[in-house]
Amino acid sequence: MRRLSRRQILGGTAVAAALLPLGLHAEWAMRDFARHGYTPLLPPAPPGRINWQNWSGLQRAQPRELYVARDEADLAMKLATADTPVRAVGSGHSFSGLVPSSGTILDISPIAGVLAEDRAAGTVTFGAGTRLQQAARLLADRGLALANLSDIDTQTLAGMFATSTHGTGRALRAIHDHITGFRLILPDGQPRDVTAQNDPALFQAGKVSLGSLGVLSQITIKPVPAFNLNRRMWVEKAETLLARIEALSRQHRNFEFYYLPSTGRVAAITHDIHVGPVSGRQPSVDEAELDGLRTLRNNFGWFPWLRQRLAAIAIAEEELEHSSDESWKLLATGRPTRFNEMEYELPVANGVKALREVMALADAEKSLFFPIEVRFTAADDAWLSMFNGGERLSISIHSAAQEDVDFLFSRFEPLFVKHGGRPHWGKLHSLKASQLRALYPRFDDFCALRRTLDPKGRMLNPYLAELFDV
Amino acid sequence: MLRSTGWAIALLLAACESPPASVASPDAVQVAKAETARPANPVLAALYDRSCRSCHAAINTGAPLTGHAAAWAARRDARGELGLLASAKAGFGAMPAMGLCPDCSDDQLRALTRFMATVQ
Repeated sequence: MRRLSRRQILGGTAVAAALLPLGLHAEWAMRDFARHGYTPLLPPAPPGRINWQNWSGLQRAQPRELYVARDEADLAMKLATADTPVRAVGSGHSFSGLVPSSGTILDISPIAGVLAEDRAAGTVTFGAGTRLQQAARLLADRGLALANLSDIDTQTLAGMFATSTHGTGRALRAIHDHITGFRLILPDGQPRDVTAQNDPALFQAGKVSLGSLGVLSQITIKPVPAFNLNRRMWVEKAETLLARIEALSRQHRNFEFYYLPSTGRVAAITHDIHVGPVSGRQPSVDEAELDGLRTLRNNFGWFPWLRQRLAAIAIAEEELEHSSDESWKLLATGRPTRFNEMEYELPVANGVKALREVMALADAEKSLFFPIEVRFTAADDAWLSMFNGGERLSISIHSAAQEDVDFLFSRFEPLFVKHGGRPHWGKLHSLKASQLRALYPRFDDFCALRRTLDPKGRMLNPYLAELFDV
Repeated sequence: MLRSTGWAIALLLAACESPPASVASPDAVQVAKAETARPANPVLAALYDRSCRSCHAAINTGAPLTGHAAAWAARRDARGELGLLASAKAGFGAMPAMGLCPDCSDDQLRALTRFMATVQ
């Protein structure tokens, strides 16, 4: 056998060293990021069954019936007689297993619009199937507004209330706390008009109910006078922003930011009251930014050092947007790219520490590219509100709809739990009754009330039965 | 946020990713029109208000804007009218199946699509 000279060995090593990155790059670039078992298309439903899936496609079900209730009477009739489990769907924007049913999925989209106005009391009653944006538009037509909005506005009011949907704003309470009453159609079809005065327990339980107490058909909102906002969006280094979180969250009406994984950068957004002429909405850079982050991940995820350096060149520290408009036109934004999401609400005192750990984990998770969202919400007293008893900092981790979600549970969830987080009801989590009981002082009260209102468990799918320990 | 250099380097290696079809963005007049346009038929208008309008009446949602004829023409040319109906029924992009109108008939979906594609 011919012996290799020292020079040949060194030369060969150099070539191998040069080829190694190319090999690693090729291996990474050829990788399929789709999660195991992902199929974009639903298989045909068997006879007598109908396909249903949520917005992201992660939750799927084949109920016997997908029923669209024409009006309140129709809803009550169906709720009392339908094949169980009976689950209500809003706009399918929950990523958790709230909606899937092998029995009946009820849709109340037609129960929409303004049903009544009480100018003296300053309230407006909506059909609970009204989608948030339509509600905001109808309020704007009357010179009114919701005090805050979530950043997605296609949810129905009923769906939004079921899951404690929220926006951001340290002094602003979640949307379910801006109501004076609701009509709940109980699982046996009987209507119940509920206010804080006539049934304080059901009022606090029903504001955030996971759709387990019946189906809301009407919601009476106490809006505020319409107002305009001034929106600023900018990019800065994560380190400098982290040092300013406390101040920014107190100085601005609405403050949120996104950590851009493996870049060391954040995109921050503030909204403040605006007086004077408005500029109108600007074209969003969100999707271009997301495409850039995905491309960076697709090509350089294998080489974190290079990925960080390229991001530092590509992502300038600068103001991206400065605009003003009516509040509802700025607070919610479109989401052209489908995703799945895990979100936990943490005590604000633990927030920054948890956030640093989340950012370090995110940078180590080579395939993660979706920006991580951080928001604030003030306390309220709904029994199962994630904000019950104290203000919270929300951290949301997204994954593209077709990609892996397992890492959310294995990597991030233990960290959230360690810091006292409560899971968002509409987003991915694995907590069960024993853990939830420790997080919610009124959890057992809620379970007891649920048993009274739905003794036969007509509205419990397997997910909810496990969650409530039934 | 996007400086060209970094993305250019990244994009060099992303040769397989095809560019999106180029349709001129809607102008200010079209954007303003989309905010207020509604079908004349009151039944269709109610359906439009509670479903399509959530995404097609404003920019930045990824959905073609109501009245932005060029954007709709590109889609009709690519998929045909029946293809657009199929997209509405099965979902397309970020639009869920039935386009947030679970009780719409095929005829109503076609009429709503025609309204969004052609309203002046």
